[in-house]
Amino acid sequence: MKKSILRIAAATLALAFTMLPNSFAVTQTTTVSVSAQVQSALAFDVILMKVNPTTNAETASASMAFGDLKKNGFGGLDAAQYFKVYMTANTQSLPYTISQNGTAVSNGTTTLPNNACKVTPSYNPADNGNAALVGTLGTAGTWVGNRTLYTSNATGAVRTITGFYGLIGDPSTGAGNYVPESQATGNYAGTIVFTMTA
Amino acid sequence: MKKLYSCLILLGIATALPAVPSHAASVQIDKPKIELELAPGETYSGEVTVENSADEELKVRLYLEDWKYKSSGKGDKDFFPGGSTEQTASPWITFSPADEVLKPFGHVTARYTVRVPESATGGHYSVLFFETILGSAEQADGSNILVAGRIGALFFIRVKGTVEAKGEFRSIELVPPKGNAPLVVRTDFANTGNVEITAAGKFLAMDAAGKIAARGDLGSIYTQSGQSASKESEWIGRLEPGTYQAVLTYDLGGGDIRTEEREFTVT
Repeated sequence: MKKSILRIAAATLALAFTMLPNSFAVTQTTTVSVSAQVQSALAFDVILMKVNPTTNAETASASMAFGDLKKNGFGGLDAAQYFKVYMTANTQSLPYTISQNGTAVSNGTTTLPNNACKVTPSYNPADNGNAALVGTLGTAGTWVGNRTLYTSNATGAVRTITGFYGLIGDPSTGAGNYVPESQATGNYAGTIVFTMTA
Repeated sequence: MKKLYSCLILLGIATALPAVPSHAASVQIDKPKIELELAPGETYSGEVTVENSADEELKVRLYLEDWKYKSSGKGDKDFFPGGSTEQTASPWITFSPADEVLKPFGHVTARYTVRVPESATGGHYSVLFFETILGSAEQADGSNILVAGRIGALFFIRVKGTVEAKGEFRSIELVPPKGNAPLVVRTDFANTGNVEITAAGKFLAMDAAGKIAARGDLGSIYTQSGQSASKESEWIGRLEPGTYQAVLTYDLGGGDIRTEEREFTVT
C-alpha cells in the first residue's frame, strides 16, 4: 500500500514537473539569432471589370468594349455599358500616386468629344477591409489626357481605389458632353494607361 | 498593433476583392527609386527585378520616360517622352531587355547602365517603366479602349560636385484655429537650386508657460529645380484661448534645416 502511494506520488510529481511553465524550470538562456529583411518593393494590381448596368454584376474584361452607342433622348449618343477598374498599390510605406493617361478615342479620322469620355475616381471601404480613405482621390473628368486618380497619405497606406469609366455625358454636373448624334460612324479605339510610382 | 492593423486591412482587401481574373495585371518591382550620385563621365550599372504576382503569363514592355513633379508639390508627377525635358537623364541610360514574357509568378531581371556626360550638372531624372497590357483588344464593334498598367522605377541622378540644393520659403502663413476650424499653415516654397528638394515640415506650439500645447506634421513639399509649390496643412485639435508661440521646422535634406517662429492668438 505504501509502495503504491509512493509510486502515485512520484508519478504525480513527474507529471507536475513536465507541465510546469518554464519559469519554474531551471533557468536556461539560449540566444537565437533572428534575422529578417523586408525587401523594398513596389506592387501594382490593375483589374478591369465590366459592370452590368442593370444588375451591377461585375465580370472580368480584356478591354473596355463599349459597343454600339445608342441615342439617349437628349440629342446625343451614350454607351449603356460602363467599366470599373480596381487599382491596388503596395509601396511598403513610401507615398505614391496613381494616375491614368488616355488617348483620344478615334476612328482614324475623327475623335469622340473628350468630355464624353468620363472617369470618376471612387473609394469603397468594402474593398479595403472597411478601412477609411486616408489619401486624396482625384476629381472626376475626362479620361483623355493625364489625370491623377489617387495620392496616398505620407505613409503610403495600402488602399484599393476604383475608377468608373463611361462614355456618357453628365448634364447634372454641366461638365459632360454627349457624343453628338451626328458623330461619324465607324469603330473607335483608344488606350488608357494606369501608372503608379512612389 | 499598427502592423496588426495593416495586416488586417491587407487581409480585408484580399478577401473583399474578386480573385485575380484573367484580365488583370499584377506586377511588382524591387527598386521603386534609384538614387545615384555619380561624377561627370562616370558609369554605373544596376538591376531591377520585375515579378509577375499572378497565375497567368504576362507580357512586359520596358521603356524610359522623363518625369517632373507637378506644381501641386504633393509628389505627383507628369511624364514626358524620354529625352524631352531639360533635366532628363533618359539619354544617359541603356537597359535590357526591352520586352519580356513573365511566367506565372515568375520574375525577370532588367539590367541598366547609366553613363553621365562630362558636361552634366545638378539633378537629372528618368523613369524606367514596366508596362503590361491587360488581355487584348476585343474585336468588338463600336468603341473599344485598350487598357494597360505600368509601374515605374524612378531615377534620381545627382552629378557629384555640381549639386546646389537651394530653396527659399517665400511665405509661411499661420491661421489660428477658430470655432470648429482647424489651425492652418500655408507654406510657399521655391526651389532655387539645381536639384530636387523634399521639404518635410513639422510644427509645435507652446503656450505662455512654455508648455507644448500642439504638435503636428506639415507634410512634405516636393520640388525640382526652378519649381515653386504651395502646401496647406491642418492641425485638428483644441487649444485654450491664449497666446501661443509656434515653431515651424522644415528639413530640406542634407542637413539643411530651417526654423521659423510665429506668434498667434486663439480667441
